[in-house]
Amino acid sequence: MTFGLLSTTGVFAGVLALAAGLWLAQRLRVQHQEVEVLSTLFWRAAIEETRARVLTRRFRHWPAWLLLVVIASVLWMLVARPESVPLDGTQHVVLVDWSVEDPEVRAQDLDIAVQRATTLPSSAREIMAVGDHLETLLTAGEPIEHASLRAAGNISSSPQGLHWAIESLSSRATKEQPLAVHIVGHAVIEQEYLDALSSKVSVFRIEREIPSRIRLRTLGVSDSSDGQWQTVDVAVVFDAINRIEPSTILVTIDDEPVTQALQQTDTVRFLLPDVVASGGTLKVKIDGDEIGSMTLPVRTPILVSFAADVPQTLRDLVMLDGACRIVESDADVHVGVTGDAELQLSAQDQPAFLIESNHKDPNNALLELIDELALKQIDATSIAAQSGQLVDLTVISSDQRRIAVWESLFTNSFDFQESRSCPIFVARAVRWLADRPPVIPWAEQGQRLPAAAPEFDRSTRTSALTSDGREILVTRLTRPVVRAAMIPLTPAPGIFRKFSLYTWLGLAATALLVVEWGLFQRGRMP
Amino acid sequence: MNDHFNLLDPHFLQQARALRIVARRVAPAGRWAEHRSRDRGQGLEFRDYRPYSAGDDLKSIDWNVYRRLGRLVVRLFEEMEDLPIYLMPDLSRSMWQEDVPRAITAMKVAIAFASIGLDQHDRVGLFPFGEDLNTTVRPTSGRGRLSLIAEAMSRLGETARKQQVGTDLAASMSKLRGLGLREGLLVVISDFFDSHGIEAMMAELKQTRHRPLLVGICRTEDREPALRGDVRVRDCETGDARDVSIDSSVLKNYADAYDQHFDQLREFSKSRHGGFMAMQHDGDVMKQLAALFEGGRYVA
Repeated sequence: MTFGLLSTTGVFAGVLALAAGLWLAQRLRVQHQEVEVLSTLFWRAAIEETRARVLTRRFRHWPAWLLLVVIASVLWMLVARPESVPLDGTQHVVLVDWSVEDPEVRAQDLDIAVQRATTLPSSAREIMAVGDHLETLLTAGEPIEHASLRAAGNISSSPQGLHWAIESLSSRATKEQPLAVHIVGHAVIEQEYLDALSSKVSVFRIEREIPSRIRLRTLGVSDSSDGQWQTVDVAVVFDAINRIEPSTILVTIDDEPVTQALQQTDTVRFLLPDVVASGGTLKVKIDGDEIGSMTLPVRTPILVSFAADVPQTLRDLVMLDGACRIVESDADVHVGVTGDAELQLSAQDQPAFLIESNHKDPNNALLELIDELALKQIDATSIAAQSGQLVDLTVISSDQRRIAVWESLFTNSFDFQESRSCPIFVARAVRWLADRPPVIPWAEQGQRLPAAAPEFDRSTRTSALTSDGREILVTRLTRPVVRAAMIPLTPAPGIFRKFSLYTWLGLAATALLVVEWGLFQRGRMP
Repeated sequence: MNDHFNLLDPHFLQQARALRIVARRVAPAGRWAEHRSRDRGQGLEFRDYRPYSAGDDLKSIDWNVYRRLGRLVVRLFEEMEDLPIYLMPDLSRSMWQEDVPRAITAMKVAIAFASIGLDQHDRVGLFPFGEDLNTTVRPTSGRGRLSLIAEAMSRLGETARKQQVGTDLAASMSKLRGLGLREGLLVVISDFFDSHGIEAMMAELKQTRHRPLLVGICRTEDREPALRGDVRVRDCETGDARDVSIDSSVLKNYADAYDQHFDQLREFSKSRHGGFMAMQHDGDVMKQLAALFEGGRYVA
């Protein structure tokens, strides 16, 4: 049982009740054994008589009663667990980066958060976990044990960064009640982002114990920087404080050491460029110990066939795409004017863009396709002006993927074929029709994901399956470099703050009890 | 003869006769006896000269001095007189409280002093007290008077045992002072448990002109009572009740108060060239008295 939520009035009412109870106890009549003695002369001189416990007589032991009231009050307040109110009114939020599903890591982070929260005033501290949403583990004024109880619930991890969490919290900060955010975890936060925060918001990082064993923080791939379709760049980021010696790192694909040299971009970040996307298993080892592995994507050429009457412009765009190979038959994508073509060239009496998606919800499918097919980049106004027609984009649900687009867009009738968006649309359309989504960097499940990229899509929780069927979390590391902010460490509590009011009360109670015991032993207490 | 308390035990009295009270110079105007007096008179031991004055006995003039110095001086000799002994046994209720009453011990001590005094031709007065001083037995002398004193003491003791009165030593001393008795040895035999407190007792004792000998009848349990826990102690004389939670610290305070009480009595006796004796009630009376007089340690 705890009185942690007892109000101040309740605490003082309890003290008064205790004082009254002790007063009554002092006045209780004691059953004495009566003995006749020759004289009470020396008894009178020797003792403070016990008349104070007799209701009908004068109350005599005020000092003793007051001492007992003080002791009882201290003990009562000790049970009530009072907290000192912070003078500056600062609200403290301990923010746990919960982008990792590893229970061990989570438990460790929670311990760190709880330890820090213990040193903060109860009335002004909160603990929150950033997963797929902002989860409150401890509200202001609650006993610290509640945090662990709530954390026992299943909170989904998320690759989302901390920015949005800090952003949503920063709206609380006022002049009278500034906000201090204490981050548990290695999540990277951009300096620019911190600079943009209000002066009423302070961000600190809670210093963590340096892990004895080097672990992998990020292992992911991205499109090759030289544009090759069949190769990818592999990013390796270690969870370590000190610099990692490149000579201690061994990267293998299907147990064969890679031929490329590791390029070190940071103290703990490495890049392995131009790795063949063959679907092999890439493993990372430090001093011979495997610390992470991933399955590389498969990047086989997309087979495209053309009908005879396909405009030359379209043919040229496909042929120039390194990911595509022109074939006569058995193509992944057939381009033609007939209805059996995946990329159909339609007449102008049809919708300008008619997309059949295997997505069951056409509205959601449209949202995804606008990005995936780079439809935003198409200048629809210009097309409409040149055609004198409404440019219509229609998405319907279907069993298979199909795109129908005006054939005339790839002729001289429109400026579209000369625009920058045309080759992008064609390349994206071919990849989408062949079901070859763009490479999205990913990390093995259970490993900490960098929470640095503001491009993270907050609205969706992205997941994917590895080649062996495991579900993994994916994140779009489209922004390779962020200027990570040097977040100051949370200031350590002073010597007096290390001992909370609760601790001081405990010490005071002990001291008072020792005094009371000493007085009793010396006969100064009745 | 009325001797309920066996005060005239022959063996006891025989032992008492072996004891002697040695006194400093006794007060003048006494009867002839064995103690040197502050009086100068016709005794045997030369003490001093003084100038001759008309009316002096011519036989007392020292003619040798006259022959050498030409002055008439008279020789003075020590006078031997008696030491009045006033016995004040406490016969209050507290003295009768136990199976073997302390009053009997007090009376035996008194009869021992009476025997010694009468043997030395001293005058002995008996003044038992409780709440008041009993003055019915006037000072007397002569060896044959011992039985009379013992009988009076037995009679008064019987009465006191029935009446069960309290203690007021101060009032008793005041009354004794009012009797105008010749300066002598005052032997107070009591437990000194006076509910009026040590201050009242001391105030009155300090006014007496007699040489005090305080005999405290005591037991080990008086200082170290075998009581524990929550006890209501009731004074056997006054009925005053006190609720006490007895523990080691209370007992220590009690012992300190007891020691302080008797230390004051001891200091008073010392300051008046008197004596204080703690007579163990459970012990042999005569042996303890003998220890007091042994080797002339006690001088009245």
